[in-house]
Amino acid sequence: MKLRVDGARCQGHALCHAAAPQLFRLRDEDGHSSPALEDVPPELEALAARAARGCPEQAILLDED
Amino acid sequence: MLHGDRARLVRRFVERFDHHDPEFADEEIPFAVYAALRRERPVAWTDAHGGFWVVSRYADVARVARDDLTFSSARGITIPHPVPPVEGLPPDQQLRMIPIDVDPPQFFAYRKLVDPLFSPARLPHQEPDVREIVGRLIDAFIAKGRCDLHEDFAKPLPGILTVRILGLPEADWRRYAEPFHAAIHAKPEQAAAGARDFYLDNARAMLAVAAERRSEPRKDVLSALASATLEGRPLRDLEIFGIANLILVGGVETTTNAMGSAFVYLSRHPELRQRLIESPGLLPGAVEEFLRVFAPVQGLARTAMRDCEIAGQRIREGERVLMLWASANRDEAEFPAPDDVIVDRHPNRHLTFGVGNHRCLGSNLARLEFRIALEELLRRIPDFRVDEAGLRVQPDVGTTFGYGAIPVRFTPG
Repeated sequence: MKLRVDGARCQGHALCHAAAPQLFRLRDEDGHSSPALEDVPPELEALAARAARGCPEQAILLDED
Repeated sequence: MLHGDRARLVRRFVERFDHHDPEFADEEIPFAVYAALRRERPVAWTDAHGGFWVVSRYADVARVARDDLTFSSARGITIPHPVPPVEGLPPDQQLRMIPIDVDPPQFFAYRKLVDPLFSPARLPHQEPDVREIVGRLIDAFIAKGRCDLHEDFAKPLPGILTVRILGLPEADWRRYAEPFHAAIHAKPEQAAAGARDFYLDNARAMLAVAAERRSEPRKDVLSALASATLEGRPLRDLEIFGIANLILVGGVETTTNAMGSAFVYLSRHPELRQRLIESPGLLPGAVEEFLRVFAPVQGLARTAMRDCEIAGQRIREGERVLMLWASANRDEAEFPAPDDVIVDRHPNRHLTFGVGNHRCLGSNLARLEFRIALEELLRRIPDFRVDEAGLRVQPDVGTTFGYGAIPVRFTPG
């Protein structure tokens, strides 16, 4: 599974990082998010899906391999 | 109030919405009105305060908030506007709040400047400050076995913290916080009468501090603003004031009211309180859920820049639109069992901090304050009970819902 964050939609709510700190990195300047891992290992797929559902901007995209 | 009277009152507000009507200032009426609006009139016109549209469903509120090109913030974001723009004066000479009253593209330049001041990277440095203030406030009342959780806790915590972050003298926090509390919960006419004066008063004080910091910078927001450049030039006085004044109102008024509502809820729901005491790991989720159910800011306004539509309703250029965050947060289409507090609710995409470009700058700091406040209150005065007879809702909850008095008793410590 591939993880992407749409930079045009992300507004820095930082909820993805709270839900899954191992999957997201927050930029120091503004707290906007980017993937910490692009390829989500199978054991973290459910967590990635949970973080994606919780994003108020719906900026997190998951693509099945 | 009798059941029939309440139903008639709700009906009256559904037909003619007026969030500043004295009878709207109630624990339950606003939420009953929002529910009926979502059901029956999701985009409702009212002739109150010069006329505006009321948008109450989650999907519509989020859509309006995300479309800054169609729905402008530059003509004021509250209804009515406490400090209306002076006719004929260009925007950069107006007494505005920056960047909440500013549209893209200029918005982005300001936002880039203020984002680093409140980024999550700062939280580890802010946490000790929050803990110190929380500890000191509880120390002051814990031996008495009674206090007012609004006056003695929910108000001073954000007040002291915000003033400290800005770099203003901490002992003066009331001088900065109280006029905002008073204005936001006053009748609109009274708020408008006082606002320009205390804005100017704040401006003088903040700019004097900024001038000192220019030569002797410290690690505070006014130092950062005093030395900041925008498009290659230093910030103008009105810009420094516009940013600092927004941080002040955003910092002091919102968090106070959200925390107060949560304290009242916990007093009324001892089983939930016990669960949070036993499992503090639930607190971050509980904070999110309290933020959803007790959104302090009920809604913010936009102005249509062209003829458009919202959910099939035609909106004309120049008309104002009130986006009801507090209603969106209780929309059954987005949140199952929307009136229930479910501390592990997921997803919980509430709109308490807004959505889109104008997302609340202080959201992460507010979450931190809220969590530590709950943690420490539940640890140090776990059996606090609200004296319901002394509990008071603010006299105006149209812009910000909250309590003006939360007397409690507890086992002295």
